[in-house]
Amino acid sequence: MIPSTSFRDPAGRCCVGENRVLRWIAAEHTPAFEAFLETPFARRFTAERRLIPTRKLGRVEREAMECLPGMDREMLAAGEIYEHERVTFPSYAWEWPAEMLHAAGELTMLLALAALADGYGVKDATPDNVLFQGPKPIFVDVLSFEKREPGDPVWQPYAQFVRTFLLPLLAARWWGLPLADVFITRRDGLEPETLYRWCGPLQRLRPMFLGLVTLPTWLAGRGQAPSAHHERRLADPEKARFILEMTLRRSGRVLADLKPRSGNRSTWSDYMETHSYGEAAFKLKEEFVRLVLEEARPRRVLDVGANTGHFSALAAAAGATVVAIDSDARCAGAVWQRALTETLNVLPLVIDIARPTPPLGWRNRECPSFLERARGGFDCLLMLAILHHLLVMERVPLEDILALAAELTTAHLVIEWVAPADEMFRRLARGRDHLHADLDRDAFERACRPHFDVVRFSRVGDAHRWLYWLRKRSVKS
Amino acid sequence: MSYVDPGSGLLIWQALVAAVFGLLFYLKKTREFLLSIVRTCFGGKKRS
Repeated sequence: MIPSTSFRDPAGRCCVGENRVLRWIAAEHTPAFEAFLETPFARRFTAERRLIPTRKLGRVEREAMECLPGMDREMLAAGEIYEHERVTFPSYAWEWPAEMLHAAGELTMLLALAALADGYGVKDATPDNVLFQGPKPIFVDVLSFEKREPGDPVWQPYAQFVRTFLLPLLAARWWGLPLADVFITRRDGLEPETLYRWCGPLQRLRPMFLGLVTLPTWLAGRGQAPSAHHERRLADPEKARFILEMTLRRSGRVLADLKPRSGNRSTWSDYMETHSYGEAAFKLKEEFVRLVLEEARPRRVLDVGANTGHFSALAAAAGATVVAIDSDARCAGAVWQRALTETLNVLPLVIDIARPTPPLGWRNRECPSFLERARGGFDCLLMLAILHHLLVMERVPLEDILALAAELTTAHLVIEWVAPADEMFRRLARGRDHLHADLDRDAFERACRPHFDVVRFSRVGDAHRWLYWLRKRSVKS
Repeated sequence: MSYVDPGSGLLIWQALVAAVFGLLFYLKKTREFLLSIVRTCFGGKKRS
């Protein structure tokens, strides 16, 4: 049996290995799949990196695969194997800010409309079909495209598109509902009935809610009529296509109306302007990080507690591929917007390092946890102005934090030690100073020693903060 | 209590909206037909 991360589509399965993403497609579906890959639509969007590049494995590669342990030769013989370009760091909708879900929705709509011209349609419309390469969405489920029946006026995945894109965006906009609250417990997004219960009587009559929430809820009682689920075919293909195109365009307009507003504030979105140390100290911090990036030349950086992404942008400008995580969705949204505008290779994710994403899906095997995906995947870890939050707010022992850092990075760690005398530390401690009485620089350096060697350290001006460049002990050079 | 299929409301709503689009299609066709008559009667040569 091929170890598979996707199994819902009977036409094929996807298998993610160390460095490769392979897709097995059943023999009866391969001619249609290959015909699709040759369409002008597929060629254009693959060249633009909006559709994942895909190639068929040659005979030699295929035979080599058949020799791998655990491979089901019978199954391999019953189909063809294709390889997709690997996305650097797979992420899921529950780790995205609303801005990224919106961008994924826009890509889905764009492809659904463009595919029509070549006589294709998308058979599902969920965020699971989209990954992000840096800040740019890329459609990865190439099997989602199928030749459409000329007389079919119905966009089959309309309801799924509403549940997994439009309603979560509506809930994020009106109630600030994080996408993790939607998708971690609900694979198929939000039902109109759920939002209907959250709305007041007047809100239900607002135009945006009327079409997405209120009318579908009122009509749901009539849904038992079997005609609602019957396939419809029109005698006039032109009319069918007109209806389908109008449905797609209308869904696209609703999606455009749900674009997350920029400039919304949160607890941490103004941190760069309101941090407790002065501009000169901040410049020193910036210079320290810049020097590490110049000397260490990391290829893959994980910025933990990235805030608005200032240091992620520095790392990306130095040529690294960056994953920037922060528990604040507004911050992650701002990082995404900046990365897109400035063409920075930064993937922002809404992740609280103290409560990282668990493994999800069937048998907890469909979507690996954040730590599973991140472990050993970076040669440099930035932990700037985050340590005191983990120590004080989360009460995580210092040794455990450094042990996790050593799991995540294969080489370098840039970490800011914030002493208990620091203003922000004291603000977070709220008078419980006795809990942190044993924390000082010596204790910090002792905790680092089992995993890291100190390469360089520097005080951040006159603040009670020190920056450390640490190198993992197993790394010789 | 009777079972209500979750999400069925969206399907019915989609069908209703599609019906409206179906009407629009005939309106569009009628408009095109009338315009073609007007062009034939008053437009002279067809533009290529």
